[in-house]
Amino acid sequence: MARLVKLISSDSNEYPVDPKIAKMSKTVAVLMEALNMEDSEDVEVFEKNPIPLPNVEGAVLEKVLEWCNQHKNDPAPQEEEEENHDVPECDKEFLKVEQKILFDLMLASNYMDIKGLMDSVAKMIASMIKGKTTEEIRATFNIVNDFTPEEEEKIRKENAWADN
Amino acid sequence: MYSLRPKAIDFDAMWGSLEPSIIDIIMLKPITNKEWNYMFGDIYEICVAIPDPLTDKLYAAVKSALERHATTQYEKLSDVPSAELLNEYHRLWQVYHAGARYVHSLFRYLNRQYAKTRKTNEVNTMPDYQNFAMYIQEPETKEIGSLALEMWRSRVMCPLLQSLTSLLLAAIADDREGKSVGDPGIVSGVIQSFVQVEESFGSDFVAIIPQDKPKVNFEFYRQSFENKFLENTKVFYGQLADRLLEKMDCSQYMRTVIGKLEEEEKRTHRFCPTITLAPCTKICQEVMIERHKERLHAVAPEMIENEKTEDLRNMFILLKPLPSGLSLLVAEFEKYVKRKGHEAVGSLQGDTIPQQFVERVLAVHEKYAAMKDQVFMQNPEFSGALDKALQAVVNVREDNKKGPPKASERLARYTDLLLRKSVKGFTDPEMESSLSKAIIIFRYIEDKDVFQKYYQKMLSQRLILSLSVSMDAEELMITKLKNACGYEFTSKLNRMFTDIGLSKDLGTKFKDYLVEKNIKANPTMTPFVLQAGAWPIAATPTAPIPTNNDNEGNTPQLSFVIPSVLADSAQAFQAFYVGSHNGRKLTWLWHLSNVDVKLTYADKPYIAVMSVHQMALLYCFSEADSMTLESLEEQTKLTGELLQRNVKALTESGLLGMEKKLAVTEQLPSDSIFTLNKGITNKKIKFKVSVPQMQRQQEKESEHVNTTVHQDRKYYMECAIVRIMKTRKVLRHAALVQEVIEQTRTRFSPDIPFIKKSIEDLIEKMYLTRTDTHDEYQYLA
Repeated sequence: MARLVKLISSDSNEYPVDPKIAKMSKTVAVLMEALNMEDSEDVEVFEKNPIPLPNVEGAVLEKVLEWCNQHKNDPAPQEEEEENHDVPECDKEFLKVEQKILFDLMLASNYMDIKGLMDSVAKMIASMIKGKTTEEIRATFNIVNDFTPEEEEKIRKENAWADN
Repeated sequence: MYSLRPKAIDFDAMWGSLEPSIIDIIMLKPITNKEWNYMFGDIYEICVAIPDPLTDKLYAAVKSALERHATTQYEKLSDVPSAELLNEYHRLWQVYHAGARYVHSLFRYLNRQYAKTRKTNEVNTMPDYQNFAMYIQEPETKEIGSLALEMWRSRVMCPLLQSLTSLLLAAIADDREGKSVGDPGIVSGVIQSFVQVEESFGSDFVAIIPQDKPKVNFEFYRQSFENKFLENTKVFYGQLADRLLEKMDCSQYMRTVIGKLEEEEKRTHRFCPTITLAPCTKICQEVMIERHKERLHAVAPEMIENEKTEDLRNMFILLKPLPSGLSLLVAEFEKYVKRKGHEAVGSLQGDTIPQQFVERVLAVHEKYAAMKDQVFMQNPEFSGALDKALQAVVNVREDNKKGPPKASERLARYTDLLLRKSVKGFTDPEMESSLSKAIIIFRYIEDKDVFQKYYQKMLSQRLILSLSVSMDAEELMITKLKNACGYEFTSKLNRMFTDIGLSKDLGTKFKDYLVEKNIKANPTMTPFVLQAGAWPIAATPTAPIPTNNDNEGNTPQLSFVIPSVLADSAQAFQAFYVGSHNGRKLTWLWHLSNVDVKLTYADKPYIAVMSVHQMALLYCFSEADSMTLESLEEQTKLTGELLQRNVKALTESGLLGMEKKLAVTEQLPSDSIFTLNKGITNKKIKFKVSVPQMQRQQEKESEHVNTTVHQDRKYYMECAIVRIMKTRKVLRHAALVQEVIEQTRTRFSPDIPFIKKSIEDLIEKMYLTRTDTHDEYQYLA
């Protein structure tokens, strides 16, 4: 039997994953480290020490793990090398999901500290904003306009340089 | 149910349950997995709480919790008796350090938040905001791990600093005195803590990739411990050195110091971080060696004189690390080797001077090269000194420093002896090693062009007269010379070598040609076709006029008449050669040709090997048994000195008889009568008629070589100057001289007046001109 780490979602589902994939989440990696699971060859250790992620829903965790599996052979992420603001080609299909899931992925990748996933999600959301008017953005994200007309006028004046 | 969505939280309640767990963790008390895992979630929730994140509040709470904990640790230690303090401190520190590491990773999310803020701040403070940076700076925050360490430093270490440091120094002092210090791990562990409190755990707990290794700041360690330690070391070893010198002589002292240095190095290594090793060693060297350097220098000449290898080795080890510490020893070594070398070659006598010279220089080289390798560990400074010393020995000018150095000639004669057929055969490896040794000396020779001249002459003799011990050996030597001095140096030698090879082929082809054309050419001949210019041979047997050694081909042939018996062969070959190589001009070098002459008139079938000139003379006696010198001259057209020499050679070998004996030096009168000596006897059936005056020739040879070398140098020098000026266009005098020396060094070392003279000549020849600037030349295209 292979060594698998059991990740437990908030709805108590078990997700056995390859330790290498689990460690792509640095938060999980730290949890494992503290349990000295790192070098253990003993399947028992993994069996007995499931790692609970009590604030991540099963559906989201599943999605996260799917991404990790796709990207397990990527080179280690480089610190702010890229000027590229487009969603990487390989993630475009993967991120075509409903907004709620997208935001949950955002939160999960932040908490679990998976830089690559977080970057892609952030770029995805940015692409949803880019080139849209205020009203369109409000419509896209279901935001109620809570500015008074005076406030709105003031903001418009301050940012006059941006409109043409 | 938990969720990642930010929500309002009750900070006090949450912190109330977190704090005891954190203290447990830092004390390495076991906690359940569940507790550990859930704490991550709690910290996340505090950091993302709404309406406002409570990050700062959490940070402050953690800070004061750690501060309280550290203070408790200090209180525990403050009562410990000093004998136990190090042990106890060490124990608590080990726990705290490991615990802090866990707490650090627990607060990963918080650390990341701070890291982000810091980065933004950095961006803001970059260009224009610099001046305001001090105003907008947030209160200083650290990662939680560093915060924990900082607390330990300020709450525990600082108040205990005095006692800790003095206990550590006492322990090390005990160790130096050879007393036991208990567990050395404790001492080094405590010292290590001075460094560790300034380290950070890094932002990634798991991936400890080397390049991510946080920079360690040794400031605290240096100030609070290292400085005192080094001071202590200086005093201790300073006093030790004084004490040792009082009761020991230099060689004992050196031995002891080497031991002490090693010991201290090991000790420092055992107790202190590696950064202390270098300054500590430096201090030890300073107080034990540098300070007493004069004492060592004072005994150096004597030790070299007596070749005290062990002492010298020790001195070398000690002085090497000092800045230019070896220079005195190196100079003494050079002086000594030079003296020994001069002694070795100063008293050469007898016939075998070349061998003696080479062997003695080699012996000196071998001995002191071994000393350099074994005693001075192949140190390049000593290699340089050895080379300089030997160069001086090899290139010494004898005869009160007037005559040219003899080394080139001697070495060439030495190699000639090696490569000439002789009774004493060498095996291939012996030959190889002898030649390699010759190369060792060759490298020291300054006037390599002189050597080249001599070598070329001797090589041509060996090749033409087939005196070489083997072609492989000849080739080996040429290859070695090429490796040492470059292709250009050996190109002529190579050419000569090739000529001989080609001539062999040519000989075979000639034989085939004769058969094919059905030409009878008796006697058979072995032709050598030598390229003019590559061979140091003049077309006339008399000493050539030195300045004209280029026009060998054009020297008018003496009207020497070759014996008719040889003419057929010669003509056949001439026809064959001109036929197959159109446009080439053959010049016969009769004086270098040899003939085997069978004496059919004698009582035994003697075979006499002689030159063609001698044979022509002898051949005259086919018609008459006795002849006058005059008629010999008439028949052979040999004249003057040449005639004299060859006739004398024939009489000396007993082939010809003469009326009255004359001294060798005397001129033969033209009316002297010679008769064929029919009763000739010789011990050997085959014997050689010697060309007389070999001795005189040798002297002439040296003279000749020296003049031609001078000529060649002149050309070489002018070429070099023109080459340099062509690339540089304008150059100062000093720079030009420098470059010329650089370029000619592989061949000879020119003296400055010679360079100046050459420059003058080139100015006269309009290659160069002086510019308006003082001491500057310009190239004229």
